Amino acid sequence: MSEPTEDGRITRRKLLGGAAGAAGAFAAGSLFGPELAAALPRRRLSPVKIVVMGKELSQGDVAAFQDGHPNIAIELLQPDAAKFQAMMAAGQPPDIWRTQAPLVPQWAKRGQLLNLDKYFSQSDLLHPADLTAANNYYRFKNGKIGVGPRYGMCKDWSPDETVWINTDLFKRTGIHVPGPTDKWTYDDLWAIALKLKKKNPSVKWILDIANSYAWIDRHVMVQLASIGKSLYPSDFSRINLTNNPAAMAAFNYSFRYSQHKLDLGPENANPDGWSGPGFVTPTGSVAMTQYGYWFLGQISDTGSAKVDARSRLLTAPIWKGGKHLDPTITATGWVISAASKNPDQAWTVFEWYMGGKPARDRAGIGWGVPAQRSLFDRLPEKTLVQRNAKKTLLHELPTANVALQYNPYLVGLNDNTAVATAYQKYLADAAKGKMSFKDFMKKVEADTNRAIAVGKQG
Amino acid sequence: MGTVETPLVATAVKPVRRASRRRRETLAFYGFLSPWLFGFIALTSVPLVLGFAMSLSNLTPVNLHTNLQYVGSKNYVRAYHDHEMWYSMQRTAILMVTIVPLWIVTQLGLAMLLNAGIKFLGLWRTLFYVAVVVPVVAKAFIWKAITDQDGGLLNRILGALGGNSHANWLLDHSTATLIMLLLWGGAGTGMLIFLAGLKGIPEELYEVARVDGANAVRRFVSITLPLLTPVIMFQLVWGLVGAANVFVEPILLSPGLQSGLGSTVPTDNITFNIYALQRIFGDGDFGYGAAIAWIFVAFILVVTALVFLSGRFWVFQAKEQYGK
Repeated sequence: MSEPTEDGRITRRKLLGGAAGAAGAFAAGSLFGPELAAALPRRRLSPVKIVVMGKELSQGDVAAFQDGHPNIAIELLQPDAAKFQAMMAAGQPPDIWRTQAPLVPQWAKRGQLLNLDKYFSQSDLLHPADLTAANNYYRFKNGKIGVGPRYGMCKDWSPDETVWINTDLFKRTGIHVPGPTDKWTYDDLWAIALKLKKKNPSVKWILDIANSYAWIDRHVMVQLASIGKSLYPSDFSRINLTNNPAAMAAFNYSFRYSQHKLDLGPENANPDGWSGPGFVTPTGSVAMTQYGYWFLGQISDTGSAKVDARSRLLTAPIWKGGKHLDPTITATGWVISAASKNPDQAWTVFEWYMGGKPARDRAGIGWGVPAQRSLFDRLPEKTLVQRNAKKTLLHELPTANVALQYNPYLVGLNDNTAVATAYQKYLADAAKGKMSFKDFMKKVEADTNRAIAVGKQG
Repeated sequence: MGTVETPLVATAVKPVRRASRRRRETLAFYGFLSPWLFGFIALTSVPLVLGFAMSLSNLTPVNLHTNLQYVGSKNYVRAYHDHEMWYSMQRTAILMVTIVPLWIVTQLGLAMLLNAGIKFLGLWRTLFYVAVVVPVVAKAFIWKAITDQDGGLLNRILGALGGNSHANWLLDHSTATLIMLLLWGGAGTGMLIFLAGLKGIPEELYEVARVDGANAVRRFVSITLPLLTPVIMFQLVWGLVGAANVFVEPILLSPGLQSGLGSTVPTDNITFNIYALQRIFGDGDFGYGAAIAWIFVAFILVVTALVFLSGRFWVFQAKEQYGK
């Protein structure tokens, strides 16, 4: 017979085992939460929750939506790459998330986005015939962007290769200020940049290229597309860089700005992290920025007549031997998860944001070109800079009907693709001369091909 | 029979009461412990195990339902052949062997200063400790302003002394800049621990030494330092683990191309942690990143074990000494 004291005693082993079991159950519960929740009887009175990861949507907007849709609750998550990666890897993505053009193919290829064709065909607010070409980035079929079902649309867009200039600086330097629709070339841009730097040593940042190289591959893809070339073979199995003279020339063009410290590169870092504040500051510490039409919002928001008067949007420079191309390289927009438990309600939120009052409001503030042609009459025209920017935009529209073919195997979730990340990573050493340009490109190529290999695993 | 049964009952009840009390005490003990224990298991142990399982897979953010596979030791073999991983380990080791001695010397120096009965003790103590309570983001931005290439305080001082007034600290001297920030931010806590250690040394020992004619240096070498070796051991282990785990500061000190996970951290400041972070959240290579993280765990364990083993030879063992 055992001791009476032994039967009921809580041993360390028992307690640790119990705690581990409880913790394990907790962890397992967090993994299988949605399934468990779905299996439980649902109280129909509570609104359906739609998780949206995105910005440019305020809590006020959310409240306004919910006033008109009491059966739908929006949980708004701020974009957070780490959180988003974890949600995706755990198979629990948000219902809706904000994204950019290069990231769409990776999900579309793997069946992770909801096909919205059915919803578009029944919508009173969104009509495919009314959508601008930029929305084609959200179509994907058989490895090709721009065809097939629609998986989302842009909230707004911009011909991103256009260049904003500080006309005061041009005049002071004795450089002719081009008109809003004048053609010019990348050689012209280089010559102007050198001249601006020489005559204005106090201006530290002459040109912001491709969002400080976060979009360098997209920018180069436009230059290559204008001469009928590409960064990738048709099967996207690798990046063609060191064996691709046209790509080498395009990357080298941007690299020269770093070598001469004309850019916002690591050797000439800008504490703001981008050229926006510097361009609109009264003293104008950034001379030119290749950001596109949407940057008009940054200029207009300053409320400064001086900044308005001195700012001008120019057409996209033409690449050597190429045709004039100015597609969007961002096409920031929304997609809906194929795994959404409430796709109809998710579409209601999507339709409201893309075709309802928020879309109409966005069209008039200058922070991008509307995704629908029917909203073009709302483009801002109060000030001279707004009117000139509209002239440039309308001039560029026919050259924007191109969908760059981004690589579906590059599975990054930041806005940067692996190409841009590698470019930024090695740029400082290359610009300082610690490695040759060819070695720099070899490293970018190796890193990118490694990322493509990872992406091909799934 | 009755006289025999009574003591039997009495002896049976007493152990049961004692057992009941012990059971209540045990329950209370584990009851108080359980919040931490539950957190440790749910938020540390389970993720560690899941992380290890992840390191044996090809998990990416997009292949959970399409092509998730067990890959065995493939990620570890890949890490072995990854020059960049070894470079990040080297940079981490350099950071550890540089910052930890600097921390210990600075912390001990500040503690001795405070222990020497200087005037305005409260003021000095606050000044020395204030960096600990300033959030790391604020500290990093202050440091970025100080080391700014154009007009930063450090370059101004160097310029006034006839040195290079245009040094690009964040890029060309990125590790030195990082070490200075870590030194500034990490000195205060260790200083308090050393101060507690100094207060624990019996004053009589110093008095006897003075009577014997020992000067300040001799007293420090023969009394203070040996009696502080347990504290130094603690600080050494704590410091090594802390230095190995540095990863927020290099990101915050990156020269400003992008922010957050997109930051372009100078190559020399890519520590082991940052390398793993970039593989996971930059490349979306979860399996490989988890393998690197586990290699990092093994690295820390080996370093810590070596330090503990070395302690047998230099840490003052109070019991043995007094026993003799």
